[in-house]
Amino acid sequence: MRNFFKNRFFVVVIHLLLMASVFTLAQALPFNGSNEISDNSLLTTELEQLKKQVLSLNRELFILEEDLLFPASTQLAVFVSVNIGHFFILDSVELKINGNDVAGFLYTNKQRKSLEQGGIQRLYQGNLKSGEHQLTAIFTGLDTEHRAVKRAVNYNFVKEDDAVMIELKVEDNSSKYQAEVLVEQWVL
Amino acid sequence: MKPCYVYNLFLNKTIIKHYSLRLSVVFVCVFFYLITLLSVNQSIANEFGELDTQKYPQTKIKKNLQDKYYRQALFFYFQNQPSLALQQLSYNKTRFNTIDNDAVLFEAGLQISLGLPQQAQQTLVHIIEQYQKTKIDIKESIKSSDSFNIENLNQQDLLVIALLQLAEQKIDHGDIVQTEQALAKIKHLPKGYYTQYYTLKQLVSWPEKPELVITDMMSSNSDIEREYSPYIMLNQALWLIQQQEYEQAFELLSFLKSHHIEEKQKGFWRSLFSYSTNAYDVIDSNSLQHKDNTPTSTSIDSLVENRALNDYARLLLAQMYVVQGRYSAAYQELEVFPEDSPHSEQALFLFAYSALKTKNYQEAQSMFTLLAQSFPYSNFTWQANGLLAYSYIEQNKMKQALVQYIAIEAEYKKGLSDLTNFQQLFSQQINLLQFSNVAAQISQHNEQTNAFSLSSNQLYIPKSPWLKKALSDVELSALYQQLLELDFLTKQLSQQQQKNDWLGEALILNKKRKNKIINTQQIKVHLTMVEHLKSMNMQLKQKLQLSTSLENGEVFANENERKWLARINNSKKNIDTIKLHQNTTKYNKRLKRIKGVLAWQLKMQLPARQWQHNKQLDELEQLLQYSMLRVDQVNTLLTENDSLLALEQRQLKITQEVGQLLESINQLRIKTNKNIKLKIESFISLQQEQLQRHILVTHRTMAKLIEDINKNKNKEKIQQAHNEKIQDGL
Repeated sequence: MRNFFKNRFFVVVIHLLLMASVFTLAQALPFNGSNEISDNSLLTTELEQLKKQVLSLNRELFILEEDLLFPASTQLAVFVSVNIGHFFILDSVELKINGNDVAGFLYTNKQRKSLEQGGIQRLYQGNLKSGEHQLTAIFTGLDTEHRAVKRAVNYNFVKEDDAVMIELKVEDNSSKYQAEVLVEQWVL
Repeated sequence: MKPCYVYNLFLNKTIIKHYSLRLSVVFVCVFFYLITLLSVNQSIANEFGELDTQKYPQTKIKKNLQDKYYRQALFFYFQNQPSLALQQLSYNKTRFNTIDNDAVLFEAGLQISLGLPQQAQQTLVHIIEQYQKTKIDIKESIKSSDSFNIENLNQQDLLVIALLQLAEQKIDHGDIVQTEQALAKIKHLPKGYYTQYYTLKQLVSWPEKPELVITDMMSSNSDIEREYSPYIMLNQALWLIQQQEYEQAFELLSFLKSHHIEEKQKGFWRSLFSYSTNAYDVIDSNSLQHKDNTPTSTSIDSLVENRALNDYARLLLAQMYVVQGRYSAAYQELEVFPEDSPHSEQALFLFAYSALKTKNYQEAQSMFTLLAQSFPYSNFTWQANGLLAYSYIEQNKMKQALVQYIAIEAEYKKGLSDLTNFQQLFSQQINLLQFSNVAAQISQHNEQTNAFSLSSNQLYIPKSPWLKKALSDVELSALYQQLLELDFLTKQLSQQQQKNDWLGEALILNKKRKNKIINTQQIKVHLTMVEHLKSMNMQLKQKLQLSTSLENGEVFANENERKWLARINNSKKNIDTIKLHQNTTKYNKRLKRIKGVLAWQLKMQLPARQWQHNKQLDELEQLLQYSMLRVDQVNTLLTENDSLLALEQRQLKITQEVGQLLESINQLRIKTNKNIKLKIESFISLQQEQLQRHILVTHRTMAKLIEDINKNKNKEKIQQAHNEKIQDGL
């Protein structure tokens, strides 16, 4: 009898120990997703941090490129904007500096609408030595009757030590029922 | 004169007589020297002569540069390039140290759309704090260009938009308390934002009914908006169903199932913060039709939204009927449910179940079969299989039911074996995105990727049906999307590294070029030349001063006059020679007269010529000073290393950062892979468990069925035996 109970007791103790270990193991390896959820949100946060750093890196690289290739002392940038765009449906633009072709752009529908919605496009960025220069821009497009029309402008400017930023504005002139190109040099 | 005489004149000081010739030679030398110098240093201000600015009228108008740069960001945004737009805003912040409030709000919208919700939150909180600090005047309008086609909202409206977006962000993260706080700060609602506000209120208050605190609504517009907002009504219906107030829910859902959502033109700010798949197609956000009358994406989106809403309302209605036991009503409701709806799986199951319950066995069976064919791995299909077999039992077709159960059991076992294969293959996979021969990686948005894109525009769609089923879990789908993003970021960083390397090479070339110029000692040569020319100029000035003081016109004589003077001297010599032999009085008189005339001519022209030479010397002096300045500048540029060094350091720093980022991405990829594998394991376990449960239920049902069949057989046998006995007895 004594041996019987001893054995039984021993068996019960082992079972209890086994259960305890299983319980502990279960705690260590949770089956539900509660820890996974917090892990996932940490991963999302980490990914976002990475994206933020990539954005910052892209910005630094962009600025470095600009400073190296287009220093302010020689930089010339030309921009295009459209005000309304009812009388002139922009199709393309050619840009010349001192008679030399430097840039050309063909506009898609989306790009043209972006301009009409208020966007400003950087058409050209380059280097120019100090002194007097002449800029010529020729805009090609369609008028309200869908006839091919060209609008051109000449602009003389002086390049000094600061960067030169020139905006070519295609603006509707309601009194003449046509578009005209105005030039605005930004003051930095 | 021989040509070389000019050179001798230039160098030999002792034979300098012809002042003006020397001056002109110096002038020419300086001119050619300048051209040489200008080619060495390009950053030279033009100080030559007096610049007449009146000659070149310039429209230099003082404008808000920030506005110009902001509009550059808009140009990218309107072309579905939010990454470039955000890049431009980031650049603007660096260049100007700050950006306007409307640009900040724009930035928040872009951050949300590019998967930077925390950044967006910080930006929105910043805007809100800014607005609350400054005194908000309702009449004050934001700065905007006249050519903008953007709705002009006042600052208070922008604050409300920011608060609403912040509330959406918070609720997406399950942060109810902060959502409530954000909504509590809203004291007034601009037109068109009531639905968003009230829907958020409903979500926050769930399962309670929300209390509206704002009373300052825009009168009739808000009433109309409130009354007919479908999402508000849908949430109300769900709440009523939960409260078991089925009658009122029925009314709302009956209205919603046939309600047509009005196509609304989204303003700029609504489109920016919109989560729709075509959110970026903002060009068409203000138009519902193209010029050729084809519907725009906004219009198509609206149709899809409308259909989805109608279908969902119909499905809810059917579910309500089923809960109430009104199976025929549910059957009728789902009879006209569209096949291509996103809810078709549930609707098909419910329809088949309703058919079964209303004893349309044939229809139920064909619907269950269709469900199994269309969605073979769906949980609904597994249940439907059981119900299909059960339908035979209901019709007392035991044998057919048994056959069906055997077939179902085989299906379940096949499913288990498929799962095991899938598990083995998946666990061995290293690159999870390459698993199962990806069916497609479709472009989710219209944005074309470029060097500055931050998000991949692709979706992961595997061929494996188990993986497809697993991806219905939002978290797993997000993890896979994260893997795609990480791959994409790696590619972007590689491109940026290449660009950075190229810039590094450009810097090296610049340094070499600079060193080459230094080594050729050109600057020293230029310096010596300038000094030499300066001293010559000084000497010429002194001589001019001397001749001015002596009023000696002969030094300014031109060529003809010099010839005459020479002839006079020769004649004088000749006269002196023949003086001893002849009377030279007449000759002397004549000579004296000629000399006097010439002297008088020279004297008359002396002041003008003096002034001219003075002026030229002054100009020369200016030119030389200018040249000296240039030489100093070039010298400074060549000797100073700061600018190139600074650029080099920045380039190296970027290289390091790229390396660190790539490493971080790799670490994150490992963690993401691990999480995906854990999730898939968990999914597989769940599926196995479900299949095993189904097999168990099937076995039990089959056992009972066999028992019943045997019982029936025994009964038939007993009956037959009994009948035989009776016949024998007769």
